[in-house]
Amino acid sequence: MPAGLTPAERERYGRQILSFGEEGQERLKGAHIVIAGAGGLGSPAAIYLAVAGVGRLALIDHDTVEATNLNRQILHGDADLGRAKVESGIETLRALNPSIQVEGKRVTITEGNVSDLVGEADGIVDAMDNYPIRFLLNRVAHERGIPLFHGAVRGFHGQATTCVPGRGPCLACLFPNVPPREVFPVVGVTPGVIGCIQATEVIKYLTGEGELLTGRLLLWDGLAGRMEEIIASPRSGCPVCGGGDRP
Amino acid sequence: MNLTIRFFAQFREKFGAMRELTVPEGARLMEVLHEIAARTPDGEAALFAPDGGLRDYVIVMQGPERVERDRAATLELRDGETIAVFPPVAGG
Repeated sequence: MPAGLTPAERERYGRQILSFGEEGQERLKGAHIVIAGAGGLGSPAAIYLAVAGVGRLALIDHDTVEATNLNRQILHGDADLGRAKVESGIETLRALNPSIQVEGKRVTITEGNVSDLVGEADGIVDAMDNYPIRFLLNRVAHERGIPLFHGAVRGFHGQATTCVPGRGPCLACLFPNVPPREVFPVVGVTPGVIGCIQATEVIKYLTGEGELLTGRLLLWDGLAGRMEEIIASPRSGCPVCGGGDRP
Repeated sequence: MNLTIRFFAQFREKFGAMRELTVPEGARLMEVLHEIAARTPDGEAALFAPDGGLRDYVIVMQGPERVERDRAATLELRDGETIAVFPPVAGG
């Protein structure tokens, strides 16, 4: 629902209003985005969505801040060690932009609560670190007809895609089987790159600007300094989306 | 015939980003991948399950189409095509 801008908001967002206009800014202000995970990907995604003026952000994370998080999870700092990530995340986001609404839930996302957690959101940022929960988010996004902005990282490598129901493959089309769990290596700049791509996708989706990563899996190789893409179609018989818009 | 195999994510560190190969007509994907894996330390374990098939999470793309594991086992390659092979990354 578009919401009018105040003079302070016109000033604050003036440089991006030059890009997508007041109407685009109003769309950001009227939007509600869930960020599932307040870690490596969720940190940059949430920070850039907050400063862009997305009106309502909901962080979900069950964890507390540990020292090993601090090479990449830039929502949190040394003073936050031991605190709930949603608590320090909310504090950081409110400090960056007091004019938006930020909320958080310190819970583990499960089959039983995922629907309530997503609520009436306009989109979900997948900033998780495992596929079983990603698939729960993917299913709910498909049921609600809202986009899932996917990202994942390992070492210097990352991937991102945007799953919009009815407009391309869903996450289960792309990844029907999941890799084994591991303590994954990660250099903080990699989720920095991928989380920013996810935030870019959210902003594009909400403002209607540009071309989304639907049907394209973006693959970032930080070691080579190369971004490439794989074109992907819906998978016939996908248990989540059925590969519905296949010709 | 000529074909290109592109690797992504951690497979790239093991197998390199791209292999441009000349193989006999009618060559199958699995033969080509087994040959590449055999010449790479721990290559077999990275790509293949103990039953000799591809690990179930390994993504094989033939153009824009994902090749299912069962079909990958018998996939015959065509001249000039590009195959992408990669594992999903999972971290967040």
